[in-house]
Amino acid sequence: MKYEKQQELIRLANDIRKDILRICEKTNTGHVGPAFSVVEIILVLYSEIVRGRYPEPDRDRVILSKGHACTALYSTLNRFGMMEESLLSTFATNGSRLGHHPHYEPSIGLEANTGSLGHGLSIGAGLAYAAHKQKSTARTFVILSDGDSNEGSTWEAAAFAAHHRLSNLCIILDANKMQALGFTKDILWPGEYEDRWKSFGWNVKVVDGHDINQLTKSFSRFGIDSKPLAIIANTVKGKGVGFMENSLLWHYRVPKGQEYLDALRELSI
Amino acid sequence: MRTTFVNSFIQLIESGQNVHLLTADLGFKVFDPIRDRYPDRFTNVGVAEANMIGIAAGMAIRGITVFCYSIAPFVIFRTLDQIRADLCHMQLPVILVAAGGGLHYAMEGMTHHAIEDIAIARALPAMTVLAPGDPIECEVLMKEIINLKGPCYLRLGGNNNPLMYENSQRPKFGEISCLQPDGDVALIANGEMLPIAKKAMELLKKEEIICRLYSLHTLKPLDHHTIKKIAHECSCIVTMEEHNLINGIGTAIIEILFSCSYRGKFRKFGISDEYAKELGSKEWLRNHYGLNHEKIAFEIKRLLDEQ
Repeated sequence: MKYEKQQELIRLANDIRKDILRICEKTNTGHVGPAFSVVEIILVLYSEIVRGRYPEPDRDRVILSKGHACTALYSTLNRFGMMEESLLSTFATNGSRLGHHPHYEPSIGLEANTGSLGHGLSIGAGLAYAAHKQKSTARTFVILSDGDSNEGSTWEAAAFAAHHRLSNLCIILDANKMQALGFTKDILWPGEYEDRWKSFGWNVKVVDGHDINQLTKSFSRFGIDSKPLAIIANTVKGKGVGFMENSLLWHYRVPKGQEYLDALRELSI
Repeated sequence: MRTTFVNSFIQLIESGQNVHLLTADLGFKVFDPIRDRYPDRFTNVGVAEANMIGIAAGMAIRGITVFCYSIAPFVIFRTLDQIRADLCHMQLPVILVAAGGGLHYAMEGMTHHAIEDIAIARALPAMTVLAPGDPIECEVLMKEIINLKGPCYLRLGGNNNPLMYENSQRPKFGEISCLQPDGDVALIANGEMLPIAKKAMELLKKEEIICRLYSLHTLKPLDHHTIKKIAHECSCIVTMEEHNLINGIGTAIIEILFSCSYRGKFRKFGISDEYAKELGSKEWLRNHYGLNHEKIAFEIKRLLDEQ
């Protein structure tokens, strides 16, 4: 990736984080920390990887299994012209179609209902399985979280995808190592994610989930053989704002007043 | 009924429908005709029911009508979160094929019984709920299922179910079927209770109590019109179901009877809110719950004798 392009995406990632802050601050709701950790992953997908758009039936689809990070998705969809600003600004207000977890609405880029963890990969595997049978070029990208990795159904789907050689299916694990009540290693130790996905028969790539260049390159092996691809993206919850990073408080908390201004200032540098 | 389902599914394929069958590793030998002739339309996802629903949702998004098969408790209880979020809210054409709803797998134990499935399925927005009572109903409903825009719960009994329709009469999706139109007492049943209701009707006939017989194969949407007509024309209404008495078809019907100020007698037969502790054959368990035709006929007679 060219240096200029990389810089442009880094700026865009900052702008998305500011969008997230803005819409969450307005309603004092939303999951800011988990959204910040997934920003570069979603951005690289829409900027560099995803092919086709609604209503093309053979478009690539992105499913945010960690639905609670939806503000990062909403903002990216808006910046890539798939979701109107007027809709984005209704986030978490009475009568809005945009809540704290996405509702299925493919015309604005929301390809599945998510929010109950452990659903996204099954739906993604079903999409990939059908595309495979239909000889479609469509690919499916599912963004998982540490919490998703606790869910048994995620591993049912992982086994299914490998068994059926779904080389058109890719997961990106937003591994910020934290979940709702603490560090994943203290709650339900997943072992090494890399080993786990390998043992399920997936190709695995481990990257820095905030490095635009690394993330983009990690897709280069996607679809080259008969295995699905797991990208383990090591990330930081609350990434981008020092006082929010790696802090459980910011799984739930929305910055207010001076905190909000401090966070915005940090992202404006 | 399972054989009818398999034949109907093959007919859907052969009529050009974009259908696929998933099973969570159940249905030994039952699906051989599909797997042998149309291997591309059949997938065993393994013993992973929750994943089966998500896979079906993903396939349905891509335009395929997907049938998910397992025995009733595994296909609806274990998967409920996926069903509500991935199928009902997203309104995807996925049919849950629930084998042995009720007490069919009697001796297998409570893990294999499903006496709460109708209550749950009916409470799910966007879900169509069907419980055919004989192979003809199964065949007719299977032809309609393909036109549904959202998910469907199809509760099947076992095999070798007797035919309930005579001559050229055929059931219609969404309408209660009247199998015997004369009399002042209405017997309303579905699924495997339908032949039992018929036997109770025949027993009562010997005592000169003439009963109507209705098959309630479409539980949602419910045929309000016919229920109100029955309420208007009969002085005694009885429901029979192999299901918990809480929130089964009896409850559904009494809601409608109340709304049209029915003043006649009413009684529902079903399972009195308990799981099986002792096991036996299907017939033994039905006897245990008072769901045999003799007991039901006796109780109806008593109900009619009450002042």
